[in-house]
Amino acid sequence: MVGEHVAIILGMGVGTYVLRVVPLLLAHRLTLTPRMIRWFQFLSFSIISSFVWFGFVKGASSLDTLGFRGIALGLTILVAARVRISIVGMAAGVSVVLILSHMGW
Amino acid sequence: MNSDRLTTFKEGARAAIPVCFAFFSITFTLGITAHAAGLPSGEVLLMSAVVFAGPAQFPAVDLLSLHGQALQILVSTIFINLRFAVMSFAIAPHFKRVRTAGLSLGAQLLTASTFAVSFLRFQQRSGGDNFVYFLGVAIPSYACYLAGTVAGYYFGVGIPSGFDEGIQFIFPAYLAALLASELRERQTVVVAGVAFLTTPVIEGLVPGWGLIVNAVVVATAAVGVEAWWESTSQSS
Repeated sequence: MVGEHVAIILGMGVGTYVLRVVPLLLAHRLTLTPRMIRWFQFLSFSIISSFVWFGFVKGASSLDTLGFRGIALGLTILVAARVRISIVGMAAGVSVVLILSHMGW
Repeated sequence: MNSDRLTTFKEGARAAIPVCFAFFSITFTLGITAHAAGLPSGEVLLMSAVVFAGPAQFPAVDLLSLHGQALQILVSTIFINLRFAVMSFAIAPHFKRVRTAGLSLGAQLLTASTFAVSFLRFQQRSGGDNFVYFLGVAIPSYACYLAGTVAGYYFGVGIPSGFDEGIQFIFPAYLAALLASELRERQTVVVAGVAFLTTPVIEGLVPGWGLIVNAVVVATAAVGVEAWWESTSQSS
């Protein structure tokens, strides 16, 4: 069974690696127009924003949890935009979640 | 490595500090999950090393403890990790001068966080040292990812309850803070905001594909609106 598990894990690794490397090597050879570069730029920001959404919702056990996560996310964005240091914004948001969850929200 | 490259690598490594927190917390939880599922430590560590993608690893850890799930694990891994294809495609223009061998090795280190940190830096400053910066972000992040897996597996049961919420919030908080601290241009702020709001709508329409479809739709619409705006401005 251990051998089977290792084979599955290696299969997962190969599959994931192919998804990472093939587009990288293909796009690397292309010459992009300014409009295409702009599209990729917008694509990248969209992906990052979507990750924020999925991370925000994932693990929220109830609407109440989602509510205080929303407050924390808002504070994260405000602090990070204000001080322009991402780790400070992150620390502010995570602190709010920890405090509110310990208060029983 | 010459001194300029070393400086760039260190700059990337400093930018990776928040990523390390995020990765350590994610894989710490993964280690706890794997321990609870009865997987040997070597297997979960091997998975973290070769897959390096948390969202695909959590369901795989659960499914591995059952029998006859190989195909389901492999197919779900491919689908969950399809986002890497889009990210690879998007970051490739910044690695124009890198040799194929280097790209082939570096590709393994591409994740949402290493992509986001590197991409946002390239928006401000982009040049021949892009790939060195990427490695500066990615190599320490990878080490934290593996360290978190081991620590979670062996020491996870000692964590007090109530910290789960905070740990799970690190990843979205980190990416949101990164966007908020780095975005300057009005158009990109709008695109990021719209993409955030439309993600649940698109995910509701095409479950499991929300991230990729949403990114393509929002980016295409934004380029279209920008082109229309430019042509309108020129004609008036």
